[in-house]
Amino acid sequence: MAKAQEILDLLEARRNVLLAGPPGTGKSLLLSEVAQLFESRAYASTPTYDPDADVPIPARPTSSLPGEIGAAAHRKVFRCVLHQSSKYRDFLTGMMPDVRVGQPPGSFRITEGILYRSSEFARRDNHAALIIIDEINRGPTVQVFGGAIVAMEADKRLGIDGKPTPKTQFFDLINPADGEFIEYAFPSRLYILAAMNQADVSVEPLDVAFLRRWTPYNLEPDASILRDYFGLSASPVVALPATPTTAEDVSEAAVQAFQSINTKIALGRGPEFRIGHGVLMAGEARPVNLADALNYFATAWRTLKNHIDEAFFGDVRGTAIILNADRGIAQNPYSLEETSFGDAPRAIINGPATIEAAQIYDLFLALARQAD
Amino acid sequence: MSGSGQAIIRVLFQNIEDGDRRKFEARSNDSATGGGARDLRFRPEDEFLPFFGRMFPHKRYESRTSKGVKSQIEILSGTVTWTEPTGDKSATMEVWPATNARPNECRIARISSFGLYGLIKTDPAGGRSVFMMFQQASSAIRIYFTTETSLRTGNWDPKIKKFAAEWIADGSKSAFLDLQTMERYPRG
Repeated sequence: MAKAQEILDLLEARRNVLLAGPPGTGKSLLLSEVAQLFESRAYASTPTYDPDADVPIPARPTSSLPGEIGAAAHRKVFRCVLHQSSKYRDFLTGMMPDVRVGQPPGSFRITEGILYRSSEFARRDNHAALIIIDEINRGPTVQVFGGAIVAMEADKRLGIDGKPTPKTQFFDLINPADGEFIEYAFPSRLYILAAMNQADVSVEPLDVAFLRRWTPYNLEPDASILRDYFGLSASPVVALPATPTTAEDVSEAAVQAFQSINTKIALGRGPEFRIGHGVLMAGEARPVNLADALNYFATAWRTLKNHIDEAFFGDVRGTAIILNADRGIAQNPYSLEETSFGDAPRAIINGPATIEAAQIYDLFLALARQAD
Repeated sequence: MSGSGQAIIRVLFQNIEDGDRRKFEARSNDSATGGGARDLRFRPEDEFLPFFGRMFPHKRYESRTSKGVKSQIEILSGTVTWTEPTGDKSATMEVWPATNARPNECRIARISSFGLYGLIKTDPAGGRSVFMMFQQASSAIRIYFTTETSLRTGNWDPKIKKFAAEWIADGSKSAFLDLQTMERYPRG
């Protein structure tokens, strides 16, 4: 929970935090932890007599939540995922056909989008709202925020007393109550936490002016988490055995292969295209014996290989370098073959469509092998 | 309000059944059990008496003759306080060991003499009416009346609330929780 606490501190200081990192670095887990902490109700550990309370031994809430978050008696988390069809009206307010039962055909109504609802919750006395927006770069982000893009900045909000400050930025909004345009500003206790995978090949980069409104929090692939998870020593084993005898041998080879792959991806495609440690932690529990380990990592490899293929789509030589298939390593199931298409030189990677459990250790040894 | 802010070290609950209400009112006549019918009984004694022994600081001894055999019994005592509309009241409470007639039941003696009947609360949902005693770290002991609904839904300390919920689910008549020794009845 240390990272979640750190993010809450950042939210308190800057109001808008953008969580970014390659897939599998724990963004979703962290979002859940922040949400849990934000709504947490911790209590003093010692029951105590209080003659003035409504019961003689009352609950005494305590909080390690920072500043205004901790000061708010009522805290609520709102969650959403941005997607290609997300619209301004889904986020703030707007007109949409009213197809609810009892409404005459052709009716319209004014929506109350999730950012508007979060903001309205946070405007109430002693209330704080956290809105979590996952996959923020997967939709038309700037259009969805509209005029709120400036007003969301921490120093452009209303004061903590709910009154405008000299810096408060208003924007036009259709008032759901009466359909009139009103000048609207965000309250101080509205906290916005967004997450994205920067290297997602299917989305556009975010607008720079929009990004400036956020405090970044970056997550990195972390082999030490894998070492801890699989019960391995903190530093890598220098000489891996030619044949594994324990689950730890396979796990050690897998972690070294994971690091080698990420080092090469960072060089060949950029650090944002690396893959997170979560790719090797997908099982319910870590493997306990050699056979379990071979099966476990053969399954994990499917996802890892898929990521490499996506990141280096159309780049056979790049893929071959990541797979160490260009170096003639005997036990490597993959090998690069130089051939031709008519007069044009071509390269293809030979290897099995699916790596079997019996092959996975040899593959990890080959992947982990450093340049001679 | 002395005692405010004092950590709680022991808690006792007892379900007040209809017969018990009469004990608080000093008109118990369910059976010809004499003075004992005005006592609040707790069983099993081997669980509750050691708990009361930690709660009540004073001991005195009396001789008892049963079936021609003389023995000495230990009587625990201490000051208890409760709040009435007019303010706090205090009195000395005694806890007696089991008799031969009612083995394995220790008892708070002469509960009727405290004049607590009017403080008993009736549960609005038909749940338990609860007699409660709790002790603070200063050793002060307080009496309080509450209800099952309050213990389930009120703003009670989570530890107290959880313990009460477990006691109610267990179905036993009486319960204690010693937050110093972590002993409890019924055992979780």
